[in-house]
Amino acid sequence: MSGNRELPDEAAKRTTSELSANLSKGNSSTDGAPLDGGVELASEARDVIARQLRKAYDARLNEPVPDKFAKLLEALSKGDGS
Amino acid sequence: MTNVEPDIRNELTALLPNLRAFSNSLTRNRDLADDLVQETLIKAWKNQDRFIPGSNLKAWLFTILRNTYLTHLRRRKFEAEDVNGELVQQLSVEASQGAHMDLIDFSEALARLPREQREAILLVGAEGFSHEDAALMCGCAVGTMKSRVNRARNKLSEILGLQDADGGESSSLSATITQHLVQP
Repeated sequence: MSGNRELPDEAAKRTTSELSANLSKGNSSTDGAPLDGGVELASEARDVIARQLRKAYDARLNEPVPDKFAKLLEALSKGDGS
Repeated sequence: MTNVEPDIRNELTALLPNLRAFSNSLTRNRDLADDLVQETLIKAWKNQDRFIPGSNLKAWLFTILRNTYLTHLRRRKFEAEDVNGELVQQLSVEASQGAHMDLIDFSEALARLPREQREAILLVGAEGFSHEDAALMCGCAVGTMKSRVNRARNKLSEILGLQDADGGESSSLSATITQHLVQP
């Protein structure tokens, strides 16, 4: 595990190209052979998928968080969250 | 309670959007997703002494949430997901018959992936975890995680019509890519 704690908005600020690169890291095995997972996509197709994934996920990340979670954490901090 | 609590509480609060986004994307059920997040918070709070300060809190929380979801699936015995990929194949045929990315919402395409592939591409592609961290979180080998991500990406490409069934670029790929790359 990495040692740094990443804040949520930091992930949200990642660019599509960074995440596309993250996806591409696992694109082949160490000997360069394609992974067991099918053919290797064209970089343009990977970029489209990364962009659409980012867009869809960002929409969920930006949804307002219901108050019930803050209330739950408050209850837990008071020791009555069981 | 210790003086560490305010920090943990603040960090849990800060990570709520990520937990909800992952839970919603994984379950495709808002009520269940929020129940899982709630249960994750309670488990994390009660077991915070097990968390190693300085390690990755987000990865720890996501692991709790994922395990809670798997427990829920086993308990309910309703993993009526596309285990064999039959639905994906069906959708791929539809895509190759001329379906355009506009006609198939990306979230819907994501929902058509088998659960393991969906969580793999969410963790690595959306949340930005390394393959190594994602593998640890899912209890599998790094190579397995890489394969899951690759399969997920290929299936998404098929469903969205970016790739023909034989793996070649679809005839509409260039137009589709151009359209989506120029969008803000």
